[in-house]
Amino acid sequence: MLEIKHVSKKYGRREALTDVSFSLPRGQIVGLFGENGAGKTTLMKSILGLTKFQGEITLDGKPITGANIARLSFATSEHSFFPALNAKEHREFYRAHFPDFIDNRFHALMAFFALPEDRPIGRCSTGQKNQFETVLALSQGADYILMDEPFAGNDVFNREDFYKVLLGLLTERETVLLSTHLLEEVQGFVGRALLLHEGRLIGDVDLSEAEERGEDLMSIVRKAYGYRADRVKEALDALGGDDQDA
Amino acid sequence: MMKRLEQCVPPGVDGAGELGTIYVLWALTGFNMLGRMIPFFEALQYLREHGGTLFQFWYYFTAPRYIFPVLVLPVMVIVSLLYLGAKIVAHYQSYRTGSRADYTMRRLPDRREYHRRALALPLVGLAGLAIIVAVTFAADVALYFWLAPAEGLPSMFQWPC
Repeated sequence: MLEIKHVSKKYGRREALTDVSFSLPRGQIVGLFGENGAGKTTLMKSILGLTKFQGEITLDGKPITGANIARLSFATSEHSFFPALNAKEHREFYRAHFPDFIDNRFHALMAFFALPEDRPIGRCSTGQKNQFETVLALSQGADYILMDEPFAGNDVFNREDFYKVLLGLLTERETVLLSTHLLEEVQGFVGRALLLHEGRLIGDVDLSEAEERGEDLMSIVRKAYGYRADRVKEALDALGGDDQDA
Repeated sequence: MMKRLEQCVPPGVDGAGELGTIYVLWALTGFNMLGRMIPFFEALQYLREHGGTLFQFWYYFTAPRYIFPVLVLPVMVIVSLLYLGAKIVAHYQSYRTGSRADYTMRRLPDRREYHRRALALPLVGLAGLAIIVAVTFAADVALYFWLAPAEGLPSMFQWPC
């Protein structure tokens, strides 16, 4: 169980996270949603120990240290691979540092995405770089796979195929925390939604329960963020009014 | 050997190339330090013959510059230090060039790996440089004790009259 307890983070005076608490048990696919600057990336970096924070984050009751950090993996749209290394060299590096590296998953995903094995990743296309980033995160052998906008720059067909493959390959011990703006694409894929707004957790929704109530992810998000469906009409009316005045 | 060398630099950095440059810098620093011994040797010989006041003057004002190369660093030592310092910066920078590989390095189970790879080769270069400077310094001192006239030696090394 990954537990986030009262986590806050400030960048100067700006509060990036304010008293965020939730827990992630094994075997869930969880969506982390929020507007730009809501604190999604900061939250993931806090979990991974890449940034300092107030509060407590534990993995099975223990703080995250070198002893258990291998149980967390990370795919980010910023990319965390080594641009000068090719796929084979990355595999060697990961195998040397992460004892649970899943070799056959790595090869299967490389084949699925048709990624080149001998070309330095830095010389691949943006889409291929994203794919390789997720291949590494999924192959590391981690229990908790954190993905921060991993598909930015990938075409929709690639993304859809990838969701299907992901559903097929994850085991019951693996949890995915997926941060993305592509709500409609992932709503059939995630089982739980965490909603961040201005650094605060404003919603933690079990989507199967919501479905029973007749709600889908989009309507939950619209409600949580106070989205006004009539604002487009209002704006158009106002523009039309300007035209008439002219 | 190559594989072990690759493990001493950030992934993707040309460790063999950097080690080659360090060897060259060591060699040039060694020649630089030895080259400084030639005028020192000649000066000592000249002063041994002429001695007296001139030697006293030289002893107090000039000799320390030769004997203590750490005080007045030969140009190749400065060049080598600049190179090694720049490599440390470049190694850390390499983790953030073209990607945020520092995220991967900082979440490795061996938390020392991030700094170890950035610092290992420059520190080896620095250690080699220190040995070269120490050896040539020892040679300078030995040369001085061998050639300096009695009045230039500390009293404990002078023959009792």
